[in-house]
Amino acid sequence: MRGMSTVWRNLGLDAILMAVLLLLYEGLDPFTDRSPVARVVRLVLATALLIGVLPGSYLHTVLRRLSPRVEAASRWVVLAAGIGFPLLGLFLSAQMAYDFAVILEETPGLVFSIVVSALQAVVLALNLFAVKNTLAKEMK
Amino acid sequence: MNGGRLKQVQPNARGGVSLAFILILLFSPLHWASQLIPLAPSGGAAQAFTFTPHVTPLALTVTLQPTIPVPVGAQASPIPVPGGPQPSEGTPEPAQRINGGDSTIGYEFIDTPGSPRWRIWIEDQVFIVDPTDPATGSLLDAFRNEADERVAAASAMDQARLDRKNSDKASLWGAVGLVGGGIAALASCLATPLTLVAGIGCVGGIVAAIGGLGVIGVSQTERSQAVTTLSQETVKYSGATAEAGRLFNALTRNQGP
Repeated sequence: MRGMSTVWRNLGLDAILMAVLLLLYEGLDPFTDRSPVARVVRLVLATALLIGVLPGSYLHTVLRRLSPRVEAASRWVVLAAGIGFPLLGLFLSAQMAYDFAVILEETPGLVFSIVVSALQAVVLALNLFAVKNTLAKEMK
Repeated sequence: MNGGRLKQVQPNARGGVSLAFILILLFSPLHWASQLIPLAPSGGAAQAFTFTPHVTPLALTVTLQPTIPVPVGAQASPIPVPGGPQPSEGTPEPAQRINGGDSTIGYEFIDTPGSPRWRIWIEDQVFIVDPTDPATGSLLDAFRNEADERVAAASAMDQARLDRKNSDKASLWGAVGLVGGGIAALASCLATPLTLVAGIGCVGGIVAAIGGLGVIGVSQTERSQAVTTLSQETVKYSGATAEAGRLFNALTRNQGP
């Protein structure tokens, strides 16, 4: 049943990395009118979150410590969230990539949305793999 | 009974009004000012003020002429009339530079004395229009309208693009809230025993997840509105551009090179 906690941890990392990427994009986007202070605040927050998910750091520790609790949750809820959330993120980031490529024609936004889409695709693949392993173990 | 009471009340009311009127007169600044003004010039007696105007007589001869009816047709307004009060005679009028459109398709008023002209342009083609001819004036008015409509459509398109970008970003923030809140709620609500910290995490996670879902919904609605607006304004923009080009060609044909 370690698959449930893996799915949950992947989702946690996904949410944190998505927030990091959004903060980095908003802090560095040259096409947005934003004060230097607001940009610096976003970059500092992004750095703090990024440091947090490094192995052994504070967010990584929290995720590792909380993940065993998920084993008590309904399996189908965790599996649905593990597949549904990255799918939703993939849909939204692909929509954003289309807007930046075709409508807005802004390269930084396009790069950002492609990176977010790739992140969602990786998380989706990892979660699908974890779900497959979990279901295969149950069949045995 | 009531009439009698009214008759008793009315004189009192009238007296009160009269008293109030006298009091207002006594204490009004105008009253005191009118009392003080004769004393003002160096404490002396008030002097009679006499005014003798020096008027130069005008030597004008008026010749009556018979009035002839003149047919008045619909005329285009080739010369723009700026709003607000008109300057009095003798004051040099500022040069009128009324323009519109943008660098691609636009117009500009050239205020040359005696012969007002309009400069119109499409991309690198520039043409000077003399609007005294009514047909040319009408075409020029239509061209100016199309140029203005094109600029308005371009502005609306820019706003729709910005809305689309903002709603995209908001959607992703909503997804972060939904995923983060969801996993936090899942881990916190399952804590045994459910401590205060875990309870706060559980409630906060649920709130964040619901909020994230709401943000996604609202931003997706805004995005769809922006998509609709953008397509409508693109059609307007293209139509105005084509129409302005047609009018430009008609004006150049009408007045020659």
